[in-house]
Amino acid sequence: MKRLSLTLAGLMALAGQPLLAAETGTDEVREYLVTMAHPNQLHVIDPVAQEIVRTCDIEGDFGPGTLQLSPDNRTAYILHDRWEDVVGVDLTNCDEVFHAHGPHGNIGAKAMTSIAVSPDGKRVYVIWDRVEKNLDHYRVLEPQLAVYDTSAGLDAEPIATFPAPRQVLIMATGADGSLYLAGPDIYRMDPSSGEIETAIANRSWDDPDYGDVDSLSIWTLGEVTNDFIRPYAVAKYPGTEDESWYWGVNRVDLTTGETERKEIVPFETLFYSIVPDPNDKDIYYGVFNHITRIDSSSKEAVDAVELDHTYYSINTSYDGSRIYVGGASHDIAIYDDELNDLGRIQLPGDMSFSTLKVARF
Amino acid sequence: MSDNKKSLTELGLAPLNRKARAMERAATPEALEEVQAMQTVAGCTSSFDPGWEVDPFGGVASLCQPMEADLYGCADPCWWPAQVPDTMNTYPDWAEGAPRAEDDWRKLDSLDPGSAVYPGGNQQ
Repeated sequence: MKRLSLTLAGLMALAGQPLLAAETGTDEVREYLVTMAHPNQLHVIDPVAQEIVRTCDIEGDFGPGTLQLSPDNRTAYILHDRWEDVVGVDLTNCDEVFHAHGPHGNIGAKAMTSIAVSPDGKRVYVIWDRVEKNLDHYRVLEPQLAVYDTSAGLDAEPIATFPAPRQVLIMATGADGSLYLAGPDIYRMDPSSGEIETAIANRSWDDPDYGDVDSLSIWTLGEVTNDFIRPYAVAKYPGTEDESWYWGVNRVDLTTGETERKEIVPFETLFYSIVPDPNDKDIYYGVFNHITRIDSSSKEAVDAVELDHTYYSINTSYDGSRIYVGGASHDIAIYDDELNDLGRIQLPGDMSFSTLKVARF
Repeated sequence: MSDNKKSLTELGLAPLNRKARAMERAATPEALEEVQAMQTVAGCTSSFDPGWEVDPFGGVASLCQPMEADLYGCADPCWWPAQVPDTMNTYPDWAEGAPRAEDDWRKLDSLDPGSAVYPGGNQQ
């Protein structure tokens, strides 16, 4: 294993704060926020104390900061170093426990937020968008799903590769091991064979009452409710006097594999990410310049609070009592479930495209 | 017909250079069926999003605010490479020493296109 450096800020935070539950010898499970930020730092944050518990400097440059957690939530797998590396980091001690590099020789490779971890924690899946760089021309290659053994250490190579659809971004795994890919449609892949099928139609959604579906699928969210969530925007009765626009969600229940696609609220404000309320699956929270509470059963925005700046990424505590927003700038905002402001956690750098994950260990 | 399936001319776009004219010639109806605008654009590809000038509703309330909060979110994924230097490929060190755009924006230099670092690391 490779020891990464704790920053001065991280050491000071450690000195002043309770250690992680794992280090106290107690069985208490505590909740943390996990995110990446500029220039190259992974932060583990106590959302109750509103303090950074641990900061790990991850060798290499920022980007994109897409995170997935191991099933025990103790290891974060991060797309890093300008979208070309996968780094596994032990959140309890900053040790780097896994590293894979996408480019090889004259084959360039970048992973556009496409990373997932198998439900048993033994495999990490990445889609590499590849290009062959020749002396006089470049040749775009087909995207490749790479399967890694998470115990392969710091010079990991794929143990299997499969062709992947183009334009896939976020991914997640179901309890049965299926890999879900958000591209033009939501696909379900068997990562042992590469066999693929459409789980939820989006681009191939052939309904004359609806226009083309548009999606922004950058942030891998839904771990709190064990869902794979992708919001979309769509026009109903396009081109008619009854044309109306809606936000909808593609949702895969990762426990059962059940899929759902439904409109949840009129398209009257912008959202970059949307998550369900852990206590009521008809309720959703969306974020951009506001946090909006959405009742999908009545298709209404039932409450909203204006934010002091744009946030990209939204999540909730496991008990649903707190709403976390991050991404974009350098602070994480915390609200309660009635949208009362509970405070801010300042980070040393901007989170940019990073995922805001909720971990429990 | 959806906008995805219209030719550039039908969309009111006029090709202005040789490459754009070649694209228009190549865009047969059959080819247009195969090639559609990406739903999510990242990685130095053409973006069809409105920029920082106007939001999807034709106003400004749904723009990223302030633009500094959105700066690295656009530079890191090469979202608008014409408007913001991209740190993914061409200007990897542009944000060095400026981890917080809101506080450090004065450190972010304008760039001479001739100083670009192209893939492979060669100074051009």
